[in-house]
Amino acid sequence: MKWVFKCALSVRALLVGCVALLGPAAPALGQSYPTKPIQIVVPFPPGGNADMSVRFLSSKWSEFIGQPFVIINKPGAGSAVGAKFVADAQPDGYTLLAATDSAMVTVRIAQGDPGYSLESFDPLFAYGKGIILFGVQENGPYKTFADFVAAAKSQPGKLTYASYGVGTVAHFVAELLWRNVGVSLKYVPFRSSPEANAALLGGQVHMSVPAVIGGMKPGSGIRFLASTAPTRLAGAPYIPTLAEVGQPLELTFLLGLAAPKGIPDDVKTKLLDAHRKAMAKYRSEIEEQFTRLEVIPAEVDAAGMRKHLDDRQAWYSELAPSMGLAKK
Amino acid sequence: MDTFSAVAQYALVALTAENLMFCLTGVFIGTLVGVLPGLGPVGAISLLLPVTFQLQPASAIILLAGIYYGAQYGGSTTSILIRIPGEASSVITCLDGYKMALKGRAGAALGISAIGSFIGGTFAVVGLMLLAPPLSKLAIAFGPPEYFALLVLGLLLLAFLGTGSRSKAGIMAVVGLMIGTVGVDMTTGERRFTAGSLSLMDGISMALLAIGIFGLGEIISTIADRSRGMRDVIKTKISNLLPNSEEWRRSIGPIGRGTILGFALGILPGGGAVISSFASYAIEKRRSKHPEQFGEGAIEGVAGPETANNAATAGAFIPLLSLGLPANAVMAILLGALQIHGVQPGPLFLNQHPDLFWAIIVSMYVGNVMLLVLNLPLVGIWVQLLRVPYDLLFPLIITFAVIGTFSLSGSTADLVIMGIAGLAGYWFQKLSYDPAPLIFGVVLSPLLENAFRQSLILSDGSIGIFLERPIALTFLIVAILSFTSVIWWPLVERLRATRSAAR
Repeated sequence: MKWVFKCALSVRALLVGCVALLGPAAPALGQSYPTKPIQIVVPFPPGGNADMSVRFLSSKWSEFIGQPFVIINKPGAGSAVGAKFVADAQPDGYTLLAATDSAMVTVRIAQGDPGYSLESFDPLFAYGKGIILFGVQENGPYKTFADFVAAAKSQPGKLTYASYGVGTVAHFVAELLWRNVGVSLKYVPFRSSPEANAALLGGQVHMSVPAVIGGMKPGSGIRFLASTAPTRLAGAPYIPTLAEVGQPLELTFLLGLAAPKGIPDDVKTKLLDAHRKAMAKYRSEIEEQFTRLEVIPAEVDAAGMRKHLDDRQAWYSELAPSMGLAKK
Repeated sequence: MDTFSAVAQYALVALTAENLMFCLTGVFIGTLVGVLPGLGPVGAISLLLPVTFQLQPASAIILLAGIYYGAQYGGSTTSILIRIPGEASSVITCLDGYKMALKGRAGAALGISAIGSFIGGTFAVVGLMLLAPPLSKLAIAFGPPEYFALLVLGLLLLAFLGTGSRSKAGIMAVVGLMIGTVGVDMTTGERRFTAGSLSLMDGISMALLAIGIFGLGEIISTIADRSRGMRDVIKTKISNLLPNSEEWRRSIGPIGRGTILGFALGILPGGGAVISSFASYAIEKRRSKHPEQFGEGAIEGVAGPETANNAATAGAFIPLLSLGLPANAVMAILLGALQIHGVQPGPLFLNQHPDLFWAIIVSMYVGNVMLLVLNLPLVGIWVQLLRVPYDLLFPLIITFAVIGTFSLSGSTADLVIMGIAGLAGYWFQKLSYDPAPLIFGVVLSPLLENAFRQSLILSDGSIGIFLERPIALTFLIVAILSFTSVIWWPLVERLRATRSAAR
């Protein structure tokens, strides 16, 4: 009995200790960075591609930065909880955010002020791009994107599509695309991409707009008519890009790192260097792993990341009222 | 038969010495984290995730799955001994398990929950093995209207959860449903009753409420009673660690029904283990010839739910493996772990990775046996905990509850909620309001609302959607029949009586 509790206590103590250590203390910066483990806050539950990709990459970064990275999952409020935690942390380079469009842009537009803004962060770099897919029933009437658009045009507001939640990246991307194409569809929010896929398979909706292919390969019951990938996916070359179906929109989302505003420049440089060195040494291994996780490898610097986020901020804010996401 | 030759062939994969080690390690860690309130399988599995990157896919999944169902076994232990649920799915076990412990039958309660879990887990794995492909089709057929109708049926079970007054149970259920509306509106993104707090945006966690209401509430009322010299350490002699023959007899039915119920609900996404444990309790109470014993230490109230939650754990592998649809947070991590190894669960999984599929299934059999062997001897050790004086035990429990809660979310708001729930729990006991319907209301509320609103979006606001679909309509008719049974059942009885009299 006792040893069980002792064992548990020590695990807990370790966890709590880590958090306490990494939190408020302001250590000496500069040459010595990093002198202790670096905490990366993932604002999602463990298991998704944002989480798995940063877990995998950071294990490679640590070789070049000399300290381990500790992944901490702080899910909640559609990623706002984790982002707020980092926004409020010391800008000492020991607390970083696994940044996506969701935490940085869409959550704030969809759910109102979470107590931070884009200005609360210094984007560091993005290592990959995530995609949104447009799937229909494999044996259904729509064989191409054009088929689907034609059907949607002939019965405005009648066709339905499912995705993983209101005000999510997929929701914004889909609405932006519908507006561009000139159709109007009814949105049915579910809680996750697989749930949206199951709704499609069960014939509840006409289209599913997930952020991953998952196991939905040809023969599984879902046909993907298009993806937002800039070029055909290494893992699924049979899915056309948006440009190929006549909609040349850049609608990927970024997976990267951000720090609390005011992080010293040399810390930024060290982190970016670690990433570049890791990529140079382990490129094929990393790319192989990314393909499995459906992340498109990309190297976007801080300025590029900033521009990407600013653009999304502008597009999606403008789109929000028409989606029923009024300012709160 | 095809299935069995496949099992035989791939059993070898699961039964390598290495994989057996991983299975044992998994179920052992699972038992530990299940026993500890707060630290759940999600935390443990994500800590171990990096380790599994280096393993074979089968070993990785065997290890992680072992933690998952091990936690379901361990979760009941603290429910029974100290009235703090280790896992959300063991909340309902607090009711009768703890009362049994107070009466000196802690060993029986722990024993029957281990055995029930074993039976539920094992039979559900058989079900998984034989029925996975057809059942995944059934899971797909379950759209929002069907889910809503099923939840309406579940809502009626609320009435049978409470002990004592029906109207009090009703009040608690409504309060629970109302608490369940806190958080972001799923269809509009609007914040509801969040008072500007980010922590409240995902709603109030049912596990948090349960720890507060059951665990802290019990501590407060024990201290209050003791200060008036009413109660002290459990003095009842703890004997007969295993259930006696009478208890066995009473448990068989609940275990059988719990297996079927748990497996069926486990297939549906969205907290099958939790819902099935509540549903099993309500059904056993309803069926029982002595419902007044429920809440006072009825072994049926432990055997049924504990069987059901384990059966649901196995059932939940069906949507995961056949649709890539994780039923809960743990399943989502398992999915991520499989992905890292280049394995994508989905409709084609069974065809493309039969070796992995069967290795997981076989490891679940083995894991269940290991858990039984691991848990039965531990029962003797756990009951010793009851000998620890309250002066030592209470601070320890509170420390665990607080650290556990904080380590999960890192949110002080959660601690405040837990504290308030503790005070409320004391108050409920004083006024004899049973908190079980409240907790179940919190679980059902968001599911019910989402399914309802999704259905209405699909039908352009027409209620007719619930009547047009055969599955949904059937559930609703059953719900209406059972709801109105108070009215028509006496009539049927009277009719029968007059008939037999006439004869």
